Amino acid sequence: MVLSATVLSPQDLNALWLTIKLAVISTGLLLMLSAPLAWWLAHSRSGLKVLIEALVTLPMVLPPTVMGFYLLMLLGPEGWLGRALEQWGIGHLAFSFSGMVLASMIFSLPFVVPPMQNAFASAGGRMLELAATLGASRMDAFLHVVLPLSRRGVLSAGVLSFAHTLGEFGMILMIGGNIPGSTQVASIAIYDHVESMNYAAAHSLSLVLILLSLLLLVLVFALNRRFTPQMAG
Amino acid sequence: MTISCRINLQRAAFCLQADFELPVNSGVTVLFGRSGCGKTSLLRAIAGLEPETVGEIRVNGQSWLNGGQTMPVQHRSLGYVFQEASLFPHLNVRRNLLFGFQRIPDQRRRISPDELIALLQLESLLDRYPAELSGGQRQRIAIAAALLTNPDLLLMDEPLAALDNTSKGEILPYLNRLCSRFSLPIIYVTHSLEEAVVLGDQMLLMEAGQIIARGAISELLHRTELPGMQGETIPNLLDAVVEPAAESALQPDSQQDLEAGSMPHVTMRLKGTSQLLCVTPDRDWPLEEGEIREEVRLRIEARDLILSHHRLEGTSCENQLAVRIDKIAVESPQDDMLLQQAGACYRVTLSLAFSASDSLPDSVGSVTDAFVYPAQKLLLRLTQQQIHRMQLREGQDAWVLVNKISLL
Repeated sequence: MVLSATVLSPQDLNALWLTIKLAVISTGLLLMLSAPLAWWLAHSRSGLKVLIEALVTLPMVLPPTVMGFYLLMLLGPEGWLGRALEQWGIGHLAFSFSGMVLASMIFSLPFVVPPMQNAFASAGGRMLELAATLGASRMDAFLHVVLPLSRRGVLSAGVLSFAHTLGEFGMILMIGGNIPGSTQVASIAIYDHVESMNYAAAHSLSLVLILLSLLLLVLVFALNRRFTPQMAG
Repeated sequence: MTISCRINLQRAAFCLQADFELPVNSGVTVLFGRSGCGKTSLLRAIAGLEPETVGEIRVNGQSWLNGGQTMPVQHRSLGYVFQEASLFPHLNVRRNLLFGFQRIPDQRRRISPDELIALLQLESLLDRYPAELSGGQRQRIAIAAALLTNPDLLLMDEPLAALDNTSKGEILPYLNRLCSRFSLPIIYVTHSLEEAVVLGDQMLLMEAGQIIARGAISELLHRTELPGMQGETIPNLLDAVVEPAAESALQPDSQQDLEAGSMPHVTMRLKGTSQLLCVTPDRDWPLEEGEIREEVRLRIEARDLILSHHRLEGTSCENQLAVRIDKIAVESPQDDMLLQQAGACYRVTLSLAFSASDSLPDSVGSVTDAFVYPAQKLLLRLTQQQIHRMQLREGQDAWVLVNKISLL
């Protein structure tokens, strides 16, 4: 970071900081909200499950611009959700950080729910029965048995969501606009630099993103290795 | 404490129906039957792991199931041991053991972890993880963890079935020790008659989702019309009491035995009779220093019995019991053709307890508690020629020579 501070302009640094803040907040919120959904999907036998699974996967196949466009329509001052939010005094979400968080969460949903769902499914069953016969309530069993046993799944869900948000472009551009200092993220800043033929700045910012992603993955693999010996068998 | 259970559970293959009561101090009840007869489903239904169960379950005055009202599994005071040793892979042995213990109220903590760990010799395993343990070790810890919830009822689903013979041999004495140390009712599912004989006090026999017979194991073993009871060997189980007074009188050479390093004999009196047996215990019996077992169970295989009209003098067999021939029944009557060729086999049931009014040899005449204790019986197998030669009839008095006795 010391190196990058010398090469990156204050505006680029701001975009980088905003990107990281966006990734952390949206990943955290998404993990918390996806856990109950993944739990339900892992254990429900309801007919509704197929539809929910399809809806969760939808953001993966839709063009980000399409999603961004409709989200903008929905959350903007003219959209019904945006108008309702304005009436409650919260304000519409178009071109705001909150709107970008919401967009990132929808965008990363298909990368977060399935790994958690798989982990919960394999940590359920016998382990839950065992916990119940040993006197643990459902919540107790979830916190002390299922979550620790699913930490690899939860970790990879978090990493995928985080990395995905770092590189997000189309949807963020639609909902956030490209307001330097308030909604301009790193990927959009790089695009701006290329547009204005400022390749040096584009290189520096790209390099920082590459290093950041690499660091993240190394961390994940190291953590996974640490969890592995106890998880075997 | 009593356990009453009257439940129904619809399965794809059959309809599970069970209606039974276990009395106070019921000990180990073996739920016995062929694979797929619904034993495990019944056990899971009792535990509350089968949500579709309907009916009524009462344990120790608490209603676990009453029509549609069901108490959640975690609130039932039970221990459950699964067939595949189930431990939490992310917790070490110590934390696995304490998982249930930490979740019960203080006033229910009668069995302390330290005591159990010492009793079951688990000290060296405490810091290991389940993946580092053998199957037998894992199952021992699973059993200990279930016990530490201080349950009113312990449910065990074929805990030895997934283990090799070495591990089985390692766990069987361990289970025996637990049963005698903690007098808690146990329902033990198995399809192995051997395990039933070694561990069980009474038996619920299941077939196709129904309980078709129940009673003391020693009795059911002799009901050869029941499925699963037509084994090649016939184990006879007898209940006996250790006779301390007679000990010195019957073994004048016990001092020599001790000096020679062999185990001393123990004299037992068969319950419900005044007949005595002399038994040489194995090295690990009595189980622990200072532990005195007054009531024991003896096991005598049918092939170790010899029938005689008279008491024999001058024989190597020191144990001879006065018996009355109760019943002579032809074995497996459906194999008529085969029997005619080989000479028919008969099962002879011998009664060990007589009513006091009967004329009997003096040595067995003074029967005091025969009327309060169910009659103990022995079963042996004889050929048609043997029965013909000895001119055996039902109701006849005879002697039986017991060649080998094992202590359970």
